[in-house]
Amino acid sequence: MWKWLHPYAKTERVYQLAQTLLPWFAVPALTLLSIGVIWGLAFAPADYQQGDSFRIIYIHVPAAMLSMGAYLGMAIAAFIGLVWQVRTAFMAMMAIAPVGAVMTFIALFTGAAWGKPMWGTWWVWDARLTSELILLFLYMGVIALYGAFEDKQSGGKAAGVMALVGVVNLPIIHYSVVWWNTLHQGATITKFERPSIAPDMLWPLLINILAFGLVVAALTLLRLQNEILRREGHRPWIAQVLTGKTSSSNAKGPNHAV
Amino acid sequence: MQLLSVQQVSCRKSDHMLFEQVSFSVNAGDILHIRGDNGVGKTSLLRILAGLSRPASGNLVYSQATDNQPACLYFGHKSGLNLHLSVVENLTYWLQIQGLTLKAFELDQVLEWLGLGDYHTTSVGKLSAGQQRRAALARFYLGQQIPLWLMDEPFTALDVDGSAQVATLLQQHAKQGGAVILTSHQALNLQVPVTELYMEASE
Amino acid sequence: MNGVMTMLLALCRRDLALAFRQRAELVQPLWFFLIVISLFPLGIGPSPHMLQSVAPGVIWIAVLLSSLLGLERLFRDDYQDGSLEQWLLSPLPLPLLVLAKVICHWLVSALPLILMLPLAALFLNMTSAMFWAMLWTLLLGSPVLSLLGAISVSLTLGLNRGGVLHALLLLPLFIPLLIFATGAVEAASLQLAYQGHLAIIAAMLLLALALAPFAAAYGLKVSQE
Repeated sequence: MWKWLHPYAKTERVYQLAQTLLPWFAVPALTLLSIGVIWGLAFAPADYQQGDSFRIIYIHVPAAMLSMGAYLGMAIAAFIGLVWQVRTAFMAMMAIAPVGAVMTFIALFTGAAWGKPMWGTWWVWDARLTSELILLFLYMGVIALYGAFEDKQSGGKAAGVMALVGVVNLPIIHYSVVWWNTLHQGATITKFERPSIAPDMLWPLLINILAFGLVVAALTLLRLQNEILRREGHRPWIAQVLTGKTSSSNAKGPNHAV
Repeated sequence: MQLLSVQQVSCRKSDHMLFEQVSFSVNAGDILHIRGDNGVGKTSLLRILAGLSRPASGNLVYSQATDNQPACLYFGHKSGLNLHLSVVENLTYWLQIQGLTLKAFELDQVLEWLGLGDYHTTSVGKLSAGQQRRAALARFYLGQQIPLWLMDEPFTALDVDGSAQVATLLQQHAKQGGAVILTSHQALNLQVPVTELYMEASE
Repeated sequence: MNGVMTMLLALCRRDLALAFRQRAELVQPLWFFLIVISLFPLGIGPSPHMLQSVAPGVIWIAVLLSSLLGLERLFRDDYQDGSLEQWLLSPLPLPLLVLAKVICHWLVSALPLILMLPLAALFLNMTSAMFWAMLWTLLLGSPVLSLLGAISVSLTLGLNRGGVLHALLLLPLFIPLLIFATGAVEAASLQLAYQGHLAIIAAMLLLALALAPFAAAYGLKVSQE
């Protein structure tokens, strides 16, 4: 037990774990993403009201879902890190953060691009777009706070508190924005919500949601490995990994003696 | 009587291990002088002992600590004195916030002895660096009932008299059953035995 | 318990004495508030009707911005001169210490701001119904600002240039408060009931009261590492 908890063994183990898991996420992610995107953008039937412009939902909806999901994942990692003092949890948290921020940006961009043909303007203060914008602010806050710390260990803790504060606030922000929107815009139809969707249109969407989830997971694993390499670069086992002596038994042996 | 037991304490700074598996214990009457080159982690160790920062691993046991007074007195690089309050105000508020009781005559005596007798109501910002250090050291006179003292470079910025006074203070405290852990680049010339702990850079 | 109360009272006395001694510094955010308020008529035109319709938003945004200036005082001096180190060693529970400091801070910086509300209401041509609603939202909402502010101040304490970052972290968190507070005042201007809005703001206050001292206490500990 003590060996397993050993601070060095830990990052190394996490690195190895990420290494093992990466292909299991990356390969299906790329396969499903190409299937979903090609099906959705080229083969799914056009909407009878919105024509081809509705196809942006194949990017917008998965990105929006994952932007929230990634924030939740970040907060869970922060919670684990803060409660059990796990260093690698903070690394995982900061590995997720920029990926989630990019998802938020994609959701905002595609939302705005859809707004142009639908509402005739690039930006409307629609409840969802506004929530996504605020989510982007929250992501940027966490990333900027972490970046501002010289000692990344303290930076991780501070950013973790911020992520948790954000996750407590997120539902409040979301509902207040929805309420604000109905107050000021009356009967604006939220066009992202569709009462029913034809199966031909639904399948590519579901595939894309799954694919985006896998992409986020794969990118997070990659970034986590990079974070470990960057912060633990002075450890002997990293040198072994980088020079190609990747046999795991070999890498594990001598570290405890360091 | 054991006051503090340090069990396999490690410290990590900016992802580098500063020191690892440090173990020792401090008993009543001990003076422990932590020595080592700049940057080996003397201040970090002292801050961990004070409970200001958490060790990366390991345990600290304060055997004599009670709930209603601080486990130790700490004197660091920062004076802990607000520049806009006077010396007396600073020390009075400090005593109250620490849950210690104040005797008025005691404070006057201590300031007199530290050469701050004329500066009761001067705001700390107007004192010289050495006088500020003296005012901060007054805590050790006022909080003598707390057995464990941690002092980071207590002799810095003090004149010869001041250093001698601090040295006397340390010895008295050790004789009365307290313990002092301090860092200093100067050798200590005390009449009581001093244990030395050498820290060396790891890796 | 008795001992803890004595320590907290000593801390409050100290903070209030300090605030009194630095009162020139406390006046600055108030001036800032007044200047921001008077910029709006100059920027968007002095039509009384227009001013009345933007008044709730303008006043609340001015309050948010000037509270950002005041929050800097909350822990920064204590961190820099080492008082915070000494308090961390005291037997006083850290979340309680945070709470006491937040209350003192609210008394010396948010309360004077609220006292300036009649002037702002006059400048922006608010009706008396709007004024009373605004007063209630400020009384319930400004402690939320101080509590959330304590978190972001404590998290940016160890940084050399925490000022701007502190604002970036904090302002998005104020959005729900801004929405419901201005909603209440707008409802009042239409002669509608606004107790519901106040109840929601009060709920936010309770949530912040329960959680913020712990988050800020953790932030203070991180600042010492």
